Amino acid sequence: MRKSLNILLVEDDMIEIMKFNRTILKLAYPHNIIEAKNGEEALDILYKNESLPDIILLDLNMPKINGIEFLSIIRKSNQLKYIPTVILTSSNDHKDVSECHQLGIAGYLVKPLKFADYSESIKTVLDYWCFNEFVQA
Amino acid sequence: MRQKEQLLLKLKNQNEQLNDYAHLVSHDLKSSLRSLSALLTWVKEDCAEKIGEESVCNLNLMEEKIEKMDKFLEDIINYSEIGGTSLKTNTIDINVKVNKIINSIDIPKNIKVVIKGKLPVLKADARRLRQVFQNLISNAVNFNDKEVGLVEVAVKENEDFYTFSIKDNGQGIPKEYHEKIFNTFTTLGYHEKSTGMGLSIVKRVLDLYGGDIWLESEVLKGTTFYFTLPKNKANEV
Repeated sequence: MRKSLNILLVEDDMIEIMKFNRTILKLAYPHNIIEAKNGEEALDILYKNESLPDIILLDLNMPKINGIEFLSIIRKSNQLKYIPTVILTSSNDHKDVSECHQLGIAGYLVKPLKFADYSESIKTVLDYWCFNEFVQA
Repeated sequence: MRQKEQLLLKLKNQNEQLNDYAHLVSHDLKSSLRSLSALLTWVKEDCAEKIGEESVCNLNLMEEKIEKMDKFLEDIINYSEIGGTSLKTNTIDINVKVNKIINSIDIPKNIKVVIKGKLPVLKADARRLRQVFQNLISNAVNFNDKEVGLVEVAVKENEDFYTFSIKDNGQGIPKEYHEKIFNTFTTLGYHEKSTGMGLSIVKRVLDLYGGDIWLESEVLKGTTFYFTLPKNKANEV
């Protein structure tokens, strides 16, 4: 069954957040978006909130705690390690790709240049996760 | 001797820093371009009627420039990565590899890319070798001006090395450019999307393997690029 998702978006760039929200707005199925400006803020949200997000969309280049640091922290946490995490980045750097896969990710998206292509790939990812069962925390 | 070693170490460090720097800056610029591109699209979407045809035209031109800049950055990242990371050793069937490349690039219907004979299986870094073939083949395709275009990939085996060739029946390259085209950012301007990085990337990869590259060309009739890959313990199967 298709369901609406609780998505934690970890992204520091304002326009990237606008891109994401604009994409979500155009979808027929509404999702609930929680925004965090960096890894630190995201961890705060995860530790404080009683209900955990269904999936995390994670940028890599961020101030304070960056994406890879954040990923390694949640992968070590018994409570948080089940949350599927999809990387959203402008870098296809091979070191990053392999580091992320080693830590364990649910996908690695390199942001396309054009907004239409970006929207399409976000839509595809969410369409897939819509049909998944999650470990309820 | 001691001094020489220190100097070498210093140069090595500086080189690494420079590569990291190119990498970092290019990635930052790439993200900014993504933002710009999205904002432009929205302005077009939201206000096309209000701003009129001429302004939409200008926005489209801006979009094209952004695309070109993005391609530039991609190439700079590719170029700076070569030699920065250590080479992997994969076993590569060049036939399969080249066929894959042919299927992955945009080839107009009037141009055919064929493999003549059987290409070897050898050991090299698969990604790097792909860059070599991909850049040479896509150049041969993109710059081809003939009604029926033909690009042929072939190989000659020598005792110590392979000589690959990529032959096209395109517009040819005047003699005075035969060396210049391998320099970074040098383009002959036949194709608006070219950044002038393709052949520099090819040359840099071949340098790593101790390979050579040269060309024979007749203006208006076509060009053949030749490059060698030495056989040695590293790439013999």
